[in-house]
Amino acid sequence: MSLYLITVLTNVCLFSFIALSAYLILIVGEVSFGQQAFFGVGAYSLAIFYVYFDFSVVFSILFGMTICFFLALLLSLITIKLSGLYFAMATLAFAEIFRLSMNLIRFPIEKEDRATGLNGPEGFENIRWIFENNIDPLGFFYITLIILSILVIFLFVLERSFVMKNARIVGKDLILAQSLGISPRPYRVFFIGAAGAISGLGGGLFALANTYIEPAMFGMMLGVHSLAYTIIGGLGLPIGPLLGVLIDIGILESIRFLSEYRMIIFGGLVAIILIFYPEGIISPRIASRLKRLFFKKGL
Amino acid sequence: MLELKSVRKSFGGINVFEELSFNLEKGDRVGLTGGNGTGKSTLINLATGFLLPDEGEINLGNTSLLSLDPWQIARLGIRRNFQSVRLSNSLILRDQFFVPEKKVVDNLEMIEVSGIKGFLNRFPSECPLPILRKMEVLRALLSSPSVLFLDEPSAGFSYGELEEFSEFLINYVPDNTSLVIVEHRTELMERVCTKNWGLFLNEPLRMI
Repeated sequence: MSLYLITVLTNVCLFSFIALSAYLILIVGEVSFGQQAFFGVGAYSLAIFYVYFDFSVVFSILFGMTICFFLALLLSLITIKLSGLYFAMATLAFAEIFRLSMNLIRFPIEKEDRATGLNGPEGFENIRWIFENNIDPLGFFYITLIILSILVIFLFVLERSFVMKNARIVGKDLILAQSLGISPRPYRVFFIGAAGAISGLGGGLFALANTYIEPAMFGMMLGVHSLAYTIIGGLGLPIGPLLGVLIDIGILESIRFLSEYRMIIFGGLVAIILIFYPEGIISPRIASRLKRLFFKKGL
Repeated sequence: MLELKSVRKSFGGINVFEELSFNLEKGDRVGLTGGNGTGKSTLINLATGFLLPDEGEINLGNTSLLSLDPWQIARLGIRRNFQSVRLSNSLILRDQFFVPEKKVVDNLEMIEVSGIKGFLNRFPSECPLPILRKMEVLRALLSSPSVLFLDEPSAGFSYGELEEFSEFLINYVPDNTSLVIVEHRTELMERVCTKNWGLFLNEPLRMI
């Protein structure tokens, strides 16, 4: 594989995490414009734990995920009375608070004669894990691919359980869910929390891959894209959002003569896909059909 | 068992119930009818927690239902269907029972007799309305409710379907389940119910 292709595929994997986090929140019927913040919190936590405190990279990522999980849990509890547009606004506000704060926080240090550490808009340089451990781009691609695969397999298993089934009903028809005896709150709170952790995991890997992060990377467009990926990919199965990422980053961003017009083409493409597949390419209905095909149960 | 005590409910300035009381005993078969706006659906919404009364008490046995959420009340065994069918359009009927698989398998006979068996692999949009209404009733029955409220279950049924459906309810609603059927038309209630009540604006419930 050429280095270019490897980089593109690594990016596809990395952005799949944030797309999956948007997917989980859309399943419980909310729209979050703030998943980029958890991506950012994950990235910054990794950088801070790894660079300042010399934690191992695994622990840095796990701590980052934990922080994201509890932060998202907190956000979902604060916004428990909000839904729809108001919830979306609250998440966006949270994301902007994070991004703008990172612009202000400076705490530069030197490590092995290299400038690193939090440095406001100039970003956090020299997160040198991949160099220190001699991990080539192909190796890093495999690492992200394996982690992503584990996550996707886990979500597929979850899909077959009552948890996902109930969560989908909560997202689709709150009144029906309640009349069936399903308590909506735990589903909403924990799905938002889990989405935060997943986004944070992606962010941590993103920081490792890039070796450099800055607040501008976690702007609103990243969150909007994560939603767009899920909406065109569909809410039926966890591979839906991955399909969306593949279309945008895998095809549009990587074909060089197109990349200038990426936003224009992507916008148009979203519109066209939604005309033909109003519920996304892998809609819940198609997912039901597939399930019927592959898992014939009794009756 | 289920008791509404001097319940008052108004929407804006309009009083629906001034002082409504009724008591549902175990195994009751109650038909409830009334004109438009007399509060038939409001009564169901109050009893299942989707609305709160302005005054009065609602008790199941010794437990007050006033502080409970609708899902908690549903778990206590007070189940309902909806006037406009509420089924997910992206799931086939078989996936919409929301009870453990074993329960479905144990009650295959009931599902078969209800006549929806041939539709289990279809989406709601591919089924006729009577099938969807039966599906909702079946879903509630499979959860073994102690009280079952049916809001216009026979709307859109032909005469034949109605006969079949009343037969089905008589045979398959368990003896210890209290059934309340709310209808505009009285055919179904006449066949299934032993007590028939009428709702009139701002008046106590009356036997009819």
